[in-house]
Amino acid sequence: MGLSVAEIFDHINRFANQEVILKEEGPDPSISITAYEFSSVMRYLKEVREMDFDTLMSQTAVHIDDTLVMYWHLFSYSHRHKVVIECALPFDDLSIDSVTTLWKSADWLERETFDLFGVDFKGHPDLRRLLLPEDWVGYPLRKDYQTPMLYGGMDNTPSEISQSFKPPKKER
Amino acid sequence: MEAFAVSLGVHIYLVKAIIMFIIAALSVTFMAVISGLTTWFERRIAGRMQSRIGPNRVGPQGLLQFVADAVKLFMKEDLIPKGADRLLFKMSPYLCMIGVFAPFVVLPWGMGIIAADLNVGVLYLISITALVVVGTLMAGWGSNNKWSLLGGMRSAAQIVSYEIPVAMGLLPSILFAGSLSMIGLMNAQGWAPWQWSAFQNPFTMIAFLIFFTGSLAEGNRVPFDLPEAESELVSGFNTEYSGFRFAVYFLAEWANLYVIGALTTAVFLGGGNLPEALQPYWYLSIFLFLLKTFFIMFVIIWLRWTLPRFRIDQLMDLSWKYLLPLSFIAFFGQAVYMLIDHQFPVIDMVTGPIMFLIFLLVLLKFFYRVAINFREQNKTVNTRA
Amino acid sequence: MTADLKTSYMTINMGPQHPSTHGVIRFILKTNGEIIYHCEPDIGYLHRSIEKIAESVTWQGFVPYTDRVDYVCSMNANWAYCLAVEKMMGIEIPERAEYIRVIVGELNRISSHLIAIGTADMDMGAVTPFVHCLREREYINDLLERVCGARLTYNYMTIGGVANDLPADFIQKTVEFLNHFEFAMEQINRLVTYNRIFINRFASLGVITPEQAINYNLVGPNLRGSGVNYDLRKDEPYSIYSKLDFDIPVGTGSEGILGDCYDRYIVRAKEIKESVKLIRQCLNQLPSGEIQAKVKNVIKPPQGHIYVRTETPRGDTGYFLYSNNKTSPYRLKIRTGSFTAMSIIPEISQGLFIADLVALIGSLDVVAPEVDR
Repeated sequence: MGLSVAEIFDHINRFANQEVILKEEGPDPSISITAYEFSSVMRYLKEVREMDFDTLMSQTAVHIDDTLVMYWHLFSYSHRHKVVIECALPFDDLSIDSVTTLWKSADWLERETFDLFGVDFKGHPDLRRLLLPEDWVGYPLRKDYQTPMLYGGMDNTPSEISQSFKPPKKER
Repeated sequence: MEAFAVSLGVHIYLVKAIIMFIIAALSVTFMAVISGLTTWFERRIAGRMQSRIGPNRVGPQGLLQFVADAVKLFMKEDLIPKGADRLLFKMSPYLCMIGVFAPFVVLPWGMGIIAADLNVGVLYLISITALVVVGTLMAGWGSNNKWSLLGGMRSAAQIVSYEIPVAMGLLPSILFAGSLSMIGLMNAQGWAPWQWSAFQNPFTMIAFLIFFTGSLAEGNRVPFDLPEAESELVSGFNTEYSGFRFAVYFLAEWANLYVIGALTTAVFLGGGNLPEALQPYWYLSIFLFLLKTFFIMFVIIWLRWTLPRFRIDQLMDLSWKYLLPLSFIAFFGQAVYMLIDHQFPVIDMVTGPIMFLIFLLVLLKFFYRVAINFREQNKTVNTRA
Repeated sequence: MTADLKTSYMTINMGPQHPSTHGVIRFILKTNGEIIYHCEPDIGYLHRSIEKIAESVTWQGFVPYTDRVDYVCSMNANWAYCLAVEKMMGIEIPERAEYIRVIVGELNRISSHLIAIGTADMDMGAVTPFVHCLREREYINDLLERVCGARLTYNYMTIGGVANDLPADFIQKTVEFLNHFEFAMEQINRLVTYNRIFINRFASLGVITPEQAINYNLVGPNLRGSGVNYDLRKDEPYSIYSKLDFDIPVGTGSEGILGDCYDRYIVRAKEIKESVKLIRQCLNQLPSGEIQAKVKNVIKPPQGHIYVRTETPRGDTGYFLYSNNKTSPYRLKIRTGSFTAMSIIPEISQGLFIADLVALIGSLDVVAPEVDR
């Protein structure tokens, strides 16, 4: 069996120069690193033999208040251990290094995150919209996203009938 | 009849023209009906193979389904895509139709019943069917659609490569019969299976198999249906066709099936030869001929609904690397065999029955396998509420 | 005449309405004749913004949407989501419910693999095996309809168990079906899987090396086809899989090169047999008892995030949930097997024929709604 999250945290902590935080509360523990050191930490995770994270399972982001928290889920087939890397980006500088050179699966995952959140992945070979049309305006999965009332000449304003239904309760 | 008409003062050429017209009309009508019935035949067989029923609503057992389909297709709008080469686009269905209908001139219907017994019948047939290639190529090029173009190109490459093994596969039979005319080829065989050209000796057997495989490819049938491979090229060369033009393609496709069946029957499977005792009942030979033809058609349809498709390079490999050398061997072998046969005629009496016996054994093995399958499958299951 | 002839690649638009792209996927092909020089998948035609919808429905209310994520195996999609929420909240579900989940999940896996095998056959031009596969799948649909009333989008599993108990004669009918099915599957295999033409089409084609498969994060049968023996049911067992006895078929390169299309195909064909084995075991051991854990009507998972993977027919489906202790998910991401399988196509498809691309897509078992979500 591979390393536990705490052991991986120790490794990263010894390697990194800047602040690394182990977030153990919640169901999945995660390791939070800074965007500045992100690229080197990821390379370290991929290439050091004790860790050998050979696959990137998932890459996503969550819009929390005024930051965008990015998540990378790594897994190692050789050691059978996994880790969640977390990195918070401020909304005025939504850019981070791309990891496509380390994991090919990052290509589409990053395109999807770019498409839905508008994160600029530096060094990505082909950063275009993936799911939405090329001419789509805005990034739908941000919490402040407003559904456009007009797209490509098609009217999208809610009809009277749909207005008459009760809107879903927001908070209980 | 000619003399009678001339005695009435009608010009001789006019009379000939009228007679020709009547025969041609009969042929084409018969053709349309046959290919229509073949569509029904194929759909019913496919349905049976796929645990469903198939068309059974229009007419008794759905026999008139093809009429309904044809009426529907005639009602459809005739579309010509923008940017298409209109002349080629319009001409192509007719060329395909000519290529498939012209062989009917030399296709026999029974012993001695034939529209025109050309002394180069087989040669004529091989060459005239090549018109279909021109038609499909034109359709592919003229449609202004890349999928059609690919289909047309595949079709050209395929049919041109398979013409050669098919023609070479016919040669041993021609050597055996010593004739190029259809009637001559049929007369050289007898009524019994061991007198058929296919079971004469190992070489004619090889030739028969090569011919059959090759004609599947020429008729665009699975496993060689690359020009219209549905899952790859949408519909191949006829993607852009609609309405009547599309119907013509379908007519030609199934008429082609009949041509393959009839040619195989006439050249390899004894045609409409009857035993001595039944010779006076000439109509039986028509019946026998049609029976054999439909059996071959059944086998082709059966293969279509069973086998996957080849890839274009595998298809070419098969033609040039295997079928062509084999057909040369068959041709050469048949020539040598005939030399030996000339010296020792008794060999002729032995090889035929032996080949037929081998064939019967293979058949027996096949039925044995089917029986096992059938017994196992009879476990019924009902999961419905 | 000196014609100004020049050669260029032909750009072909394959899809979104193409018979063998398995749903609405578009490929922009640059070809040299029939040989593909570059292939670019264009996805998103079936994008229904399920992840955005999730943010406005309740935790339980999202279960029907998971059906639509992958409607070919919606039972497993239900399962993946419910398992994720249960893990997040620490809900223990009753044993009978676990067994029922395995039974319906594996039945659904069989039907999904039947579709995968059938469409791969149909892409190769063999229509009859496809119809035979659908015929067998129809029995499974009947069985599942008896369980939950739906034939395609089941909405059967709930957070904390399953919606209702098995009907009275379900076990007997299922055993009856399995007895029939084992032979029927063999027949289908004889018809296509061991057919020489079919093997020649699939063998040594679209080879994905184990390193590539891992780097591209291929999952499920596609990964195991490349020879990587990894199955979540064995390696990170969830539910009751650790108690059950089954094998993991792995590609061996039996007809060509390790990781070719035939390996991926045969892994699926063999997995069907393992699923039959699993269902038989579960039917024999099925305990009595509750089918639903005590779960409140309004659930609010604790603050935090979780990423749970489940072995669905198209590989592990990962659900990333982010909860802020409210009645609906704050963020939900679905990472599916088809998504990564799709992303490897541009690299693998170079130099193939168009006909081979069709085979490659068929062997990867890409399902459009799962790619787009």
